[in-house]
Amino acid sequence: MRALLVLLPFLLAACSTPTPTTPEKVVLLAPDGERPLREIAARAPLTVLVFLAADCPCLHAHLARLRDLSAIYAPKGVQFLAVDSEVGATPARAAAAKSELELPFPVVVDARARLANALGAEYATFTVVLDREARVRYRGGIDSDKRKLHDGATPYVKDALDDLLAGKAPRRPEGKALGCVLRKW
Amino acid sequence: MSPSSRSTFASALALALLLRAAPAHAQACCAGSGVVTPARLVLDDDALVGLQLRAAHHLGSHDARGEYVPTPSHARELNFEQNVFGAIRVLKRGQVAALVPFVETHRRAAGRSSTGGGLGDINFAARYDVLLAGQSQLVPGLGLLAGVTLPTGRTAEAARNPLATDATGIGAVQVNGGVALEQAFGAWFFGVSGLASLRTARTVGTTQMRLAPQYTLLLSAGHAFESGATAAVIASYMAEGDATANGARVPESARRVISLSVAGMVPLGDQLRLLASVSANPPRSSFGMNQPVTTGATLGVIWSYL
Repeated sequence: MRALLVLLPFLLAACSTPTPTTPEKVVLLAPDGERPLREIAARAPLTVLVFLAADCPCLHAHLARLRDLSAIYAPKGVQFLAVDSEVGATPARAAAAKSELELPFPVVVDARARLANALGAEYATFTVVLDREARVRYRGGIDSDKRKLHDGATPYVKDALDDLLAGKAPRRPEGKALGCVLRKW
Repeated sequence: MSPSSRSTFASALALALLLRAAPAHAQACCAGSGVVTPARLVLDDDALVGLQLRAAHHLGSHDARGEYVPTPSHARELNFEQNVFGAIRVLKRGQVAALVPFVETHRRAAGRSSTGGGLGDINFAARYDVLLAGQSQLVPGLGLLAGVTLPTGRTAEAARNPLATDATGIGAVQVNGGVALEQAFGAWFFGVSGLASLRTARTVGTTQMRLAPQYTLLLSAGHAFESGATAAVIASYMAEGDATANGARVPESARRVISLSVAGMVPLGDQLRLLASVSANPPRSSFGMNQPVTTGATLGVIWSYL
């Protein structure tokens, strides 16, 4: 019974669906030190945050597409960041993940998964597009593919970036994320 | 397979429906559950439909004292099942499933043989994942299980074929509930599940029969490969007490059975998966009671909707 009481807060937390909130107060550990998300987002008109789990096959399947997105949109001013919200995240692990996954953009540390919880990120590959004011403009999957990639997949993030860069609201503000459970605690 | 042992298998399958069964770059939480529990929606599935074929051969049985008795050379029993099932997500972490079994039996004994079959007992199941496997480093995933099996099959006393080969059900409503604990460690996944079933009384002639509550424990361990294929070993133990007749205990009617199986799942794309397993009840004394001892194999195909 005592064990149940100890676990109860965790279980209740797990039961409740996190409501995404404005995450601008969250502080991330970037390669250049601790930075509030608001400050990071202010560096670019749009920021793409990709939550990762280094051993997730769905994420691995999407790495080439992420590199392509970065190659296309970074020159247009879009900032890409991968986020390590999993338990035990450290700058060293983030750096190792960037190297291992051959990501052309930084991996930041989301200590205690505060950002993930604020955005409702539960799965690796979950992606969020923020504007310069750190407002969420898109949240969900990278595209409609899971592990096996198809040419006809719906490119959720690409569509959102195209729309936002054109000054329009994203045609699809949310998309289903197909990935692995983030081990947050 | 007798209706009672079929019921045991149905219970195990129902449990499988309710439970969930992975990387270098295969994370067990993504793929593991499907191999242990075919009809369970995995992480990204919104719905699925599937077909599972099963064939089993009787080696013998355990008597009321747990002694193993081989099937006499002149006798033979083969069982076949075709289970059509589907599951749909009704809440973010809640799912319901249904299983419609069709069962056939071929039996030969004392110079006679008979084959029969038909619709078995239909099962409905529900699962709610309070905590997903892999979400916490320390606390395992926790699923709450519930289900009901309806007496849509034909009971042994209502069978028309010689040797009652067209008996396909136990004739009682079964209501069950349970919990499932599971955890993933990289590409490895482990599960422990427990299920308790209560059965309603049924009338046979002038006698009101009631089976005792049944308890099932299922242990699983598996590995997910980089290809997405998974393999698991699964052990289950079912126990129930003596049945009652008109309120009086029927001595030596309690049942026990241990089942061991090895299962594999191969994904063909993100939506189609093939499953296969082989299983057996250990043909050794004290490993069962009032239950047939069988070896069997299953083959299944599942189409999921993301």
